[in-house]
Amino acid sequence: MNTPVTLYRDLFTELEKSLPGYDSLPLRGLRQEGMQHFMDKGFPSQRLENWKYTPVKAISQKIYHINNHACQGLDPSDLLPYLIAPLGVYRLVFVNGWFSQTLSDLHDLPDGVRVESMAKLVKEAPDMLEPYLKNKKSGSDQGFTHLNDALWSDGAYIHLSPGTRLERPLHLFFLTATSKKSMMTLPRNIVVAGADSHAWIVESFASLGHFPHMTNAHSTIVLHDHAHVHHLLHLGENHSAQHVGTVESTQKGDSRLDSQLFSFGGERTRQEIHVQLAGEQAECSLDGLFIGNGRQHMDFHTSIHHTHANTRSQQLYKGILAGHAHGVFNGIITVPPHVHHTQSNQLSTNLLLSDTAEIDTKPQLEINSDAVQCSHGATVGSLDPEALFYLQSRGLDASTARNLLIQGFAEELLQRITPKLVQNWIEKHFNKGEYHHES
Amino acid sequence: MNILEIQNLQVSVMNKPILRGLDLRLGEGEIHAIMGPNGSGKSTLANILVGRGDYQITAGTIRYQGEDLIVRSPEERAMAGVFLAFQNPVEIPGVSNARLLKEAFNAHRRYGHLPEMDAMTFRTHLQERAKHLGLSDDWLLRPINVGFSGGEKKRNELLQMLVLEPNLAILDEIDSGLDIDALTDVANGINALRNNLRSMLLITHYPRLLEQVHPDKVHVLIGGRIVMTGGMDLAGRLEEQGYGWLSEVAA
Amino acid sequence: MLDSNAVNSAISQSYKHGFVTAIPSDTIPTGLDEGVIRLISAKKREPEFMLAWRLAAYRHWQGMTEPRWSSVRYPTIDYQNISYYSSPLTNNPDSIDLKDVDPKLLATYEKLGIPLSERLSLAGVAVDAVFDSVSVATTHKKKLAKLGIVFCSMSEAVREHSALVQRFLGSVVPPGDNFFAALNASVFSDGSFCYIPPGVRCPMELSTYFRINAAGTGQFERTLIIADKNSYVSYLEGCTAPQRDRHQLHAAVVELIAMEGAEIKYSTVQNWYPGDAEGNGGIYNFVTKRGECRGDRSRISWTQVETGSAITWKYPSVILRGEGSVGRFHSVALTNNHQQADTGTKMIHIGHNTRSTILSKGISAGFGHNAYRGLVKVLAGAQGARNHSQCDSLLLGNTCSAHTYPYIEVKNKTSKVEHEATTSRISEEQLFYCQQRGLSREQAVSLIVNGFCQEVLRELPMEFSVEARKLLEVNLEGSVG
Repeated sequence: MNTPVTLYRDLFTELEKSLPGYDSLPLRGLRQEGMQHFMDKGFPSQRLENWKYTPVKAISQKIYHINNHACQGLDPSDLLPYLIAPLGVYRLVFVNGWFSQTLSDLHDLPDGVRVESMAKLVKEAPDMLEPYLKNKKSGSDQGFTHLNDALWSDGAYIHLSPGTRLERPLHLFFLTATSKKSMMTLPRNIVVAGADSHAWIVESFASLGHFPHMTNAHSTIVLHDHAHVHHLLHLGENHSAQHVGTVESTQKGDSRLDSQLFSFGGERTRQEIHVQLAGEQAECSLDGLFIGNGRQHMDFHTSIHHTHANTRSQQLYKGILAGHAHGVFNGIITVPPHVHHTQSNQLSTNLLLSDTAEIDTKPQLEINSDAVQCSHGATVGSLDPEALFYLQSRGLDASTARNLLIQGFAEELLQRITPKLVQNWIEKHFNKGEYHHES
Repeated sequence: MNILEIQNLQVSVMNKPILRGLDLRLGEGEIHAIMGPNGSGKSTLANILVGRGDYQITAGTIRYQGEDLIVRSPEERAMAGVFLAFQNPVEIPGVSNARLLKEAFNAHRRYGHLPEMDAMTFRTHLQERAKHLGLSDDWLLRPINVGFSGGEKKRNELLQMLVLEPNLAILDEIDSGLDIDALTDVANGINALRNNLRSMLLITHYPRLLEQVHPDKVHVLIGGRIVMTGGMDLAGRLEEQGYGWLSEVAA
Repeated sequence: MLDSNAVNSAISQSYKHGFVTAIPSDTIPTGLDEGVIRLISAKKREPEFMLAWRLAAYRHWQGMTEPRWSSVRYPTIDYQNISYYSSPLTNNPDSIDLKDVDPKLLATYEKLGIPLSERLSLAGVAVDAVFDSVSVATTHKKKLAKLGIVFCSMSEAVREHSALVQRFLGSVVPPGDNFFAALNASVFSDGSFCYIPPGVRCPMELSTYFRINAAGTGQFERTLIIADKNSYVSYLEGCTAPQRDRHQLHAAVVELIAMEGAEIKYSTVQNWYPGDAEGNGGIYNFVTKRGECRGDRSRISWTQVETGSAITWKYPSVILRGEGSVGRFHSVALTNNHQQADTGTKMIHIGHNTRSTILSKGISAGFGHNAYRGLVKVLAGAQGARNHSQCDSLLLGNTCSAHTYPYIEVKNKTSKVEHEATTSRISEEQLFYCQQRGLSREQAVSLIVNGFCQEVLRELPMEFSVEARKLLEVNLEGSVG
């Protein structure tokens, strides 16, 4: 019988030879191992605690086509609506999963910063990538990751030598040009920030056209001592898109990660962000803003492991849900025994704007050491009727008043975006957000 | 007789010397002020006297009522009558002032081989003292220092002193962060507690409090040593001229 | 730092209720099958409906698997190696007269601080004393009966008030609800039954005191409390067991039903034998407790102080069905040595303007493991529902753990749900402050822990709150220095 799992296996057999890294035995082995794990475990079951609120069946039932070559014929002008700014930004564009040289712009990259297409680099220097492509242990909740391990196409490799700074943001743009033939893209990114380096990295996802497609993305970020990375994720695919993504970050001593997630698009979205604070004084901040409407499903999972003493983390996730949208926040902070002086706080706040929207939030703490300061909180509520009334009494119409309060709710997260260029870009997306038309 | 005798006290924190041979004698019923610039070792002295950890005594002796104080645990010192009004008293959520004081008071009683005071008698005892400082009964039921202003915390320290009736009270910057009115209240509290058996060490930056308390002696602590001892006139001179003129003496 | 040296140097006091009463008992052989269930039912001379109910539950149970989703860890339980019924031989189940109760039993309860003679008993508390599988005495029954209040053992209720039992038993916790509830429904031996008629305010605290005495047995009691319209009852539950080196299973079910305008306050001070410092022995306390606010404006509150048991695994919950009904959960859970607790609550908001409050205080010491697990669920129809949750954990030492798993599921935009949690430890500054006032470190820790639990403890009736404070103190011993 043909199940989705066996169909992907067949697809893998068919495509394997054309996928990047086939010529390198170790990398070929890693893909095969990924496929084996996927065959063993399949897609995760909703019975698993971490997938309890995710409609896995709806995401995985459809069989997608996978492109093994770059898409031609896009004009740079097609891209304009999606760009942060035409100038002042380094840009890597991937169309249907593959790097497009013509649409990208890497002029004036400073010395010591290497930015490449993974597919290209894997041919030139597979040994360099191997350590970052090691598969995770096989697990029953890892099906999508295993599939990416086996079938990833392309993505960005970014390496910052010690002490280098990227003054302009680096935009990794993943565009799917949709067609009747539903397509899955499987990007894979690696960011290595050397000691004392600094960078702004923006990963964004969008669709051309309204046909269904699927994205299964994976990014690995390694921060060495004193490195500072801003990682902003913008999910803005069309309303037939399925998006499953994972970011895994490991931080050495005194490093700092500022992760910001803005999720406005997609039909069903599930994004995981996992951070290991694996060096003293490492610090991370995880922000998230998601807006769901219609029948959108938005699902965010964070985990922060304080494996070293004197590490700090903070999280603020805000959800705005209208229509029949379903939002999920599932965050966990762990502190192992004998890890001292960690500080963490985690807050999930949510606005329900319609009678049919739903939020499930689960902020969790697993603390096994006493020398800690941890707190978390969650709130669910609606717009404050008193505040609405107040604004209306000052002459605002109901919908303006409402939008003002919603903006106020999101403001804190929007304000924290740097640089200004990127902030303006996200604000633009937010302001045309679909919470405006209720239900 | 001296209630407190400190000889050649040398103390380090994380191997950094703070007190470098401090000598001090405090007679029964006397009030001494210890003044000095930041970092001169004033708070270290206060902490050492009540047995706080994290300090290494590398030389010297401290005798309290003629006996070695250093070997005793913090609670033994407390029960023997050594009291510290903390510079920054900590908050203890959920534990009322009354509760702590009842436990502490009875610990003192047991130490003195006296029967514990029953709840009702103690309550009256406590209320009387609270009244003395102008504190309401309601105050007694508030959790210790939680949400207290700076002035309220200081007042609370005085209340505890009033209830526990120590022989030696060390007041560590009891006057910091207080406005004039609060300062007067605190000074009145101290004066009310004054008697010929109770001795006090006032650690302070400012002579304002001293003007209302009139200590028997004023010591200047610089660089971990007492470099000069005098009367109120010394405090006055410090206010006018600062500590600069003393640094030669200290060197 | 609360270091291990200090731990070792601190005094250690043993479990105060660990004695065994030497009394001949009718203990049936270990093992479980339909025959055993028929035997239990026969011994209790139950009506036919009860046996049928038990057998149906048993058949259901056979198809179930033991849940493993919680964070507690324990070796596999051999359900065939437990005796499901043990009754002191001298007990006459039909007698309601104390002079028929074996003096040894009376002495046992007296030693536990629960005198059963009405003359000696605490004024204002009526007690149902459950010894192993059976209720041995219920005090103040006559006085309560005058008000129409039924307060008796479950066995008696099954025979004497079968209409009420048939109507309400299993209506909140269905026999097949979960593995342990199904096991309980099959083999439950006794427990308390309580019915408060409309408009009656129960004039005294009702209380059940559970005692496991026999070795190798499990205790499977079942309690059912019904507060009819506009009535009020406050109910207390206490538990102890002898010190034994083998684990014993306690799988109880408690069902509460509050009709329109009624209020039930249910308080537990749980002090089952926790096992020794190495984690040998102790009770596995796997309990299903659930209340339903069935009528409008009804109220149910659970207050628990969990200091005993090797493992505590329970989630006293409230189904808020009636409009404007109120559910509250106040909990203190202390785990020391090798104790484990996975506890919390579920608040299910169904009706309009339902409100719930959760206040949970977890304290972990030694190798203790403490998990809060709670669900706040607001259904689409629960207009104007409100919840506020506060979960605080206190860690004493470096080998214990505190986990917090709140689940919040909201489907109604007019509702408002707030959850807050903190994890912290006692600071050295706090300890030193108390020491400077003359307290020892043990006293200081005990005082600070008491303060940490203050908001929950004050929810308990006075007698229980004093008892609870003492228990916290005793159970903290050996954890600090």
